[in-house]
Amino acid sequence: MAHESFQTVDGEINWNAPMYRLYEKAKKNGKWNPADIDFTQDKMDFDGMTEDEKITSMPLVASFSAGEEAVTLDILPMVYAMARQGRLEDTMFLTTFMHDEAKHTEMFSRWQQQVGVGEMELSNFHSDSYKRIFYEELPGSMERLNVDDSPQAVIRAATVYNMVVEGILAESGYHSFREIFKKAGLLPGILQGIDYLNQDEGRHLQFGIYTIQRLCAGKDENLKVFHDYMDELWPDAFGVVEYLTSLYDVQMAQDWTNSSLDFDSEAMKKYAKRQFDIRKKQVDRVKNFNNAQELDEQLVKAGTV
Amino acid sequence: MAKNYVKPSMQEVFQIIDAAVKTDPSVTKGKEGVYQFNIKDEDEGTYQLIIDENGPRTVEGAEQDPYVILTLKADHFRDLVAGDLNPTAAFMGGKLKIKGNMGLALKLQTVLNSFDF
Repeated sequence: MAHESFQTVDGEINWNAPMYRLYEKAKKNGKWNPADIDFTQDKMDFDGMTEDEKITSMPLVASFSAGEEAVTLDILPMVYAMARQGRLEDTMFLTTFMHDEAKHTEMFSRWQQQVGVGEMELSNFHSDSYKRIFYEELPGSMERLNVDDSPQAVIRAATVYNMVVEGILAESGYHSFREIFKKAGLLPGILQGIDYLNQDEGRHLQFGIYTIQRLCAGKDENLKVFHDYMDELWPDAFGVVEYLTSLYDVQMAQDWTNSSLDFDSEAMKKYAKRQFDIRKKQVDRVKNFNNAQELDEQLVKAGTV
Repeated sequence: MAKNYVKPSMQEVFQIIDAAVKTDPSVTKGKEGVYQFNIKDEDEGTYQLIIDENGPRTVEGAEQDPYVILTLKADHFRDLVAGDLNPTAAFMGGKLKIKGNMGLALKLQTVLNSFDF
């Protein structure tokens, strides 16, 4: 596609655009380097864990590793779509987003390598629900943007990517890691990485919420696209959490299991449901605005991005 | 003096398991499913442990669609059955590959522990 003009010579960057401000935040706060995280204690902890304790961590690692790889590979169509639409500030923010995802993928892969499970085949921990979201819906909705970047297609892409994968599943995953390993005083390196990821994902969520909201402001039919797709994806999103918690429950129900790790499956499922409700509520706040301009003005005024 | 020990063939091992699971079918209650064992290297073959409404049994070959497929060497399988190796350790140590229902795979040791082979 040939360029007809350039924003920065016809005028300048919109320094107040919500996504430009988020880009500034990303430059300031997203400087961590996965290679700097010390996994020495994690290796010692992992070696000292029983086989049953080790296997408890594997479904989570398998879910995160593939999940981070998927979002690294699948973000590109969103970048193209924003660039094609001339959304310079959004595109600038997304360059940091892509870099974040690459670091997340690196972080998990480094951890796996350093504790000695780098060569293990872990895809057997991906349930049918996991596969529907990460193997099918995510790439499907994202790749659609290559041929259709209508508001509805962008809303669906941001819904599965930002709201479901990041806003429900990643958030629930961080919570699980902390619940299991922080409480047990184990694996400080990966927990530090999780804190960094969590911070990055906060910005990604803001991108997703903003993108959906600006396309839904004053357009109830678009807001319906968001809610319908969230409802459609929820059974599988919950299925991912349910499967992971069920493995833990099955393991703990066996009388031979030798594990001191403690985890509340029911609380975890409730936590995931709460994330689903929160994401819907966050996007629903767009009902207070008649159009995208009002939304932008409010975000700038409130200084939330 | 070393014992003159002859390793049972895989066919014999599965016959032993078959006899054991049929002795007291009640202990496999709640563990319904089809475990498929793909035995590699020496004594290669495919066997299934089927636990369903017709009672627990083993068969040679793939009689039913497996819920979970466990791939391992014959010696590792013998160790598993003898209780010298547990499935979790085998999996974490790379001696056992699992495909399919991981929940069922986690119950395998309980099934094996239920019998005095």
